[in-house]
Amino acid sequence: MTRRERAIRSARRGTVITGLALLGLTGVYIRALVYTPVERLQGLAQKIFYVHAPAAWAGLLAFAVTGLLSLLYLITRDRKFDLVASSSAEVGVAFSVVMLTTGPLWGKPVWGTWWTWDARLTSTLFIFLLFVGYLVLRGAFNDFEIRARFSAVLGVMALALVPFIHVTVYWFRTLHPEPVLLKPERPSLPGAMLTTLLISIGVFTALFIGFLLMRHALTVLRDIREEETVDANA
Amino acid sequence: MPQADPTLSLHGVFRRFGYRWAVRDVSLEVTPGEAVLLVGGNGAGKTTLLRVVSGLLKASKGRVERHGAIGMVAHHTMMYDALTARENLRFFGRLHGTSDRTRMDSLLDRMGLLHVGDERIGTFSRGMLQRLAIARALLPEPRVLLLDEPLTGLDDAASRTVIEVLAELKASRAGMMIASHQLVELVGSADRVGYMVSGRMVALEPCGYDTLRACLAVAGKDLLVEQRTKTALFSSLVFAILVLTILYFARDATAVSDLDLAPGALWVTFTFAGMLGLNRAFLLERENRAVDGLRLSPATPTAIFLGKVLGNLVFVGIVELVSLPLFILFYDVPLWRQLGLLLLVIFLATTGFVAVGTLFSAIVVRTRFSEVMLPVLLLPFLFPPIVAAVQLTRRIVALRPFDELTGWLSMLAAFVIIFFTLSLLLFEAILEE
Repeated sequence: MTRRERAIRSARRGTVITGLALLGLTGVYIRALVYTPVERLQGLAQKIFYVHAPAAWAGLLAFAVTGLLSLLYLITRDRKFDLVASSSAEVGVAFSVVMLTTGPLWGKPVWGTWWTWDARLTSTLFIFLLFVGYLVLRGAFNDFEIRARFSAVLGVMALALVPFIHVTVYWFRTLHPEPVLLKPERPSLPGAMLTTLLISIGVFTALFIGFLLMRHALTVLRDIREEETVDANA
Repeated sequence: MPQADPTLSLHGVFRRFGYRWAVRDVSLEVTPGEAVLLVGGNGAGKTTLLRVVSGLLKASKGRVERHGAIGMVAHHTMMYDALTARENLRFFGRLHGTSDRTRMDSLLDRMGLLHVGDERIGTFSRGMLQRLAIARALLPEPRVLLLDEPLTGLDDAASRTVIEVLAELKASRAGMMIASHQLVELVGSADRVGYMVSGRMVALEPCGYDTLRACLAVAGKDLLVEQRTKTALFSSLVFAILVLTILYFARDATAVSDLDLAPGALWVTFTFAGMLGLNRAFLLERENRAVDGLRLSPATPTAIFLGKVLGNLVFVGIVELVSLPLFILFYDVPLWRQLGLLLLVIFLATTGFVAVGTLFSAIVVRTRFSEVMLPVLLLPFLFPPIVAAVQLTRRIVALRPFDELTGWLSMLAAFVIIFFTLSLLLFEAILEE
């Protein structure tokens, strides 16, 4: 099977997974709005939580994949790791935009303000800007080898930065709710809400995989076209 | 600790070909486990010196004392193309009085050639032949190994294997003399570097000293250029004063006190003024492709990175030291009692900032819009250390007890250690072409 055929097969798989995940997302909305109890203090506004938190998860997953594959690229210098890392960063930026827009929509009725310089919001914004910087940097080089190497360095540095941002968030005074799922004790979310959240996280993970497969296929096809142009000009 | 007896001693060695002196008055000793790297241009006498040491050539004058067997890897394999790898090793083994086939197979295995042991070496690639030549040289268990351009023609993987073998030999107390053009790759394997010019060894220096010297030379050059032009220093200082002034007048004095504003104002000033200086760090090296001069020199990427960091640290430090009294004066901050603590915080945060900034300035200088790109990449990384520095400054200004500082201080120190190390390790990938 040629590289082009593999990319097209990957794109088809991505389309199927994305289609199924979008159906799942419809199910999540219905379950969140109809079958999940309304939160006592925050009211209906809290329903955004079932999109906001899973989008944050998918964004962080995408950035972690970018960081790890950047490290693998620097070790092996195999271009496929670089191409997947860059695709994952683009998908991560898309999920971060979802998270950063749903956050204020949730914050306005609950906190009474669209935006607050809460540490977690700020740090999330900074991680988002970091990966926008990663994509801008990639656009600044024509030579794919230099582009891959330099952006991999940035990807590895960004991966190492995440724990520091996490610590900064927890030590700084924060308005954000404490974690309800990932904490040493049992999750504090009521059963029905927890189930909806977990289903939504599963759906967003599938969306991430679907988007990544499609974006990666496009990246590979563009790469093949560039190589063909270079060969034709040789 | 007493000095170990040398495995090899050269006393005033000369060698001439006709009317031309190829080696002139070379004296040195190689001790067990020591590697001496010979560097110099074509015709400097490196290969001739190795051939004299091996005994292939006689010294025209002077004396060579060899204390044990000598192995040599040269430009040519010194083996027979029509024989297999095993047959070649067996033949040379017999000449050295050994027929230990297990040892021969273990040498082939170590060189990654066991699977082709029964193939004629005429079909081998340059890398395979070089590795087999090293296996042949190791057969008599030499106390001194001589290697002439051991990495020439090898790909990255084969070069790594050879460098690993050299490290193992050093660990097993074999002495080595290595002649090579690939200084950057091999300087890490060497203890001393001998510089050869027209047959003379003009300098023989320990590698550790060389790294430090290269680091100081890079930093000194950056500061000398800045002293000549003064553009970055003056613009950073003017910028720092302007920021301090504007922030002071921008606040509402009835709502925000001087002390509330001071920590943030200080770190905004330091961050942006420092960034102006960092931008120029690698622009200097792009002028006339001076960076190629750095890469061609024996200076390792580590030495270049540390030199650039040191130069930037001094530069940003000067801007901070001039801004700090103005800050204390403008904002009427009672800092004198805890000045030592504040200087520690400034040192830690600045070191982290400069290490990451130096790495990123090396990246962005290759782009078209480097002045814009540096803040885009660097500022998100400064979020944890700058928040920590602001929090610490806030507590120091408020004269809070030391216990309240330890958490943020530890975080800041961890950031500096981790990102300094990471930047140092990743810098080599940036310097490659």
